[in-house]
Amino acid sequence: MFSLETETLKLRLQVTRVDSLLEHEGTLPHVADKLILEFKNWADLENPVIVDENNIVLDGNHRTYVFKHLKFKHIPVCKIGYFNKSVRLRYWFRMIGDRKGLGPLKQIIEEMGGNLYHAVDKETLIRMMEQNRFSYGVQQGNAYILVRFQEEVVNDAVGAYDVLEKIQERLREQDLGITYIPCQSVRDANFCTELGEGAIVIWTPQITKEMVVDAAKGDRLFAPKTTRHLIATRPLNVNAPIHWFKEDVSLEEIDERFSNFLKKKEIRRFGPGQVIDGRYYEEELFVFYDRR
Amino acid sequence: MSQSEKILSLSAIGPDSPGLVSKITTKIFEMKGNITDVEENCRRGLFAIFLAVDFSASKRPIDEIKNSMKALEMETGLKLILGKCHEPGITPAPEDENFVVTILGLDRPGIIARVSTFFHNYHINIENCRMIARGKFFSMEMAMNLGKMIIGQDLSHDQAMEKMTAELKDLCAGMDQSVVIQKENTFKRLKKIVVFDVESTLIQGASLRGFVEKIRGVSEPMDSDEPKPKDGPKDEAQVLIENVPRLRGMSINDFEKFSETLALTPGALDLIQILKSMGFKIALLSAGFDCSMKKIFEISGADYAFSNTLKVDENGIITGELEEPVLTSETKNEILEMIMNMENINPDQVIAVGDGSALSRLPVDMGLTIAFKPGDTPTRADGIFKGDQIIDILYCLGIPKTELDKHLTRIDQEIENTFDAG
Repeated sequence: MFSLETETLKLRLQVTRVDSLLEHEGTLPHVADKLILEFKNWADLENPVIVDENNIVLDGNHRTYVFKHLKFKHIPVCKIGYFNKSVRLRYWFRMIGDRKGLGPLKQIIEEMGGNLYHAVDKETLIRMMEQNRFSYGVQQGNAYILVRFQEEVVNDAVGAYDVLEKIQERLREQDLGITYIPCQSVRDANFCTELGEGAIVIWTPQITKEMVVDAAKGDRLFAPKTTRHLIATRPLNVNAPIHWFKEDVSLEEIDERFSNFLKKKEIRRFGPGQVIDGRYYEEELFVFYDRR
Repeated sequence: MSQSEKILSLSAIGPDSPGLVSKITTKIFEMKGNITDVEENCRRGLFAIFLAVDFSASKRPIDEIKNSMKALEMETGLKLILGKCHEPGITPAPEDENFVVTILGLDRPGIIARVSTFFHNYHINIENCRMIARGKFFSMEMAMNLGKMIIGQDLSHDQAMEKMTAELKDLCAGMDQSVVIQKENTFKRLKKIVVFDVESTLIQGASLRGFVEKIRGVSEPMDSDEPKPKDGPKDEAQVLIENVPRLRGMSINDFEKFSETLALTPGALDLIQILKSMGFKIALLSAGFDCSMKKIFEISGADYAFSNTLKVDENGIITGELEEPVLTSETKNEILEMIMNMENINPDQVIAVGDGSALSRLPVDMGLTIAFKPGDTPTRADGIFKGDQIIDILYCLGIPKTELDKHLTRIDQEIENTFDAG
């Protein structure tokens, strides 16, 4: 095992058995297919999957799915304490293209038995969602709506996201494109002005870490793109040879090999707010690279 | 007649017309000549070609060959000059004596004359010269051979080189011209990444000073502000870092409004956009603060961007400290090394753009170093850009003129459209 520690979080980089990992979220087929191609042909796994103490996958559901699909035996992980306060659970909101206005969405929700309630402003919607478990918000510009379903339709967090998935499917049938945006985006002061005129945002139901753990342990999967875990510190650019994890060797042997591999690398620590390989990281980073 | 005497040089010049190269080379082929060197150019309706041709396989006497070639004058309308080409006498200069010099700035009479006289005085041979831009803006690229450069007494070769480049930089500065001097083998080496020192290139100096003034206005002067008598000029990065304690107690949201003061150097984003479209990776190194840099990082589409992170408590209040490790002018170099390792590239594949002080800390074997508006501080950068137009860096990258024109025309068009829309 290879450990890294900050003031707030301990990261344990190690190898574990692929079949011991518990996913909590489904996968997007096009993302998984792309990864399958990459892992079949690529030499290295860039970043380890991030898991909690019980091997629940917090970041890397697609990689885990593909490792299982390709029948890899082991996988490198970065183990963290999920209930550490520096690990924050956020969600992905959905944004719908603005070609047809609110009409189609309202119609779909009503046909599925949902009720719509107007909220006078953003703060009211936030309050209403806090008071109504597993409810959704709809935003179009400065107009806000709360959406609720009867308990027989939505009675838990996984079910709430399943219903959302069905709404999305029906929207797609109408050729309405859906993109995923971080939930914090809507809190940005400029969000409404930057939002395309008429574009609609679905605020997804609020869930807790306990719900994520329950789903994973209960072998239930949230819909793809449900959770967005903000982990205060991440290891990056580990680049472990993928073929290692297919080898028929013991866990102890491969873990030791991985640990020695990491020890030979340089590590550079960065505060949040850096761009590496074109991606902006809000987290603190430990970047690994090879000495030349 | 020796074989070497059957090697001819052929120069031809005249009005351009279709098929000239074909007519000349077909005649050479008919005479059993083998072309060993060729260079051809068309400029403003004029055609010029230089050839070295080995006729040793031909059984015809050399005079007959010459007469046949000369007959091409009637056929093509070109003026032909034939001469003996003593190839065995020519010893190629060592590769590392070949340099490429690019001069650019607003056009004015006498630039070429003064520069070529400068090289003549040093016995430096101009082997090739091309005009990249001519009009209001002037840019010329010269391939030089320094094999016979005059080296003053008591000077080593490296010292003589240093003296000559320093004098050339001074000469160009005196004509308000920017100049870049690169070793040809490094110039030709495919560059992969362009690194910008943010404080000295992407952000306008005046706006950065305004930003620092705003920070200073937050609190009473600190002891460390008092100028120490032996202090030299501080670099911008250091000034930013030193003022962080002043921000203690300030809301991060309020501080972010300061960042609106920061203005980008005109053309900087266009330059990055063009470089990216050409396949370069872009790295931005800043000693500024993450919240101020985020927007710049985002709009630039950089592949790598690093800055300092202000420590903020759970209520969004700045603590007056930076997250460790603090990125300073010194550590920028280490980060660049990390990027090179991650990209698996060598220093000679890196183009670094900064002011003189930022570049002075980089390894000496960078592919190209350009000091952008370095002031009067001496710098060992390969290029010195005096003007405001950061986009002119494109002229020093060996980009074919047609491609360069395509990019610059598009940018001009976009600027025009912006004005029209306004």
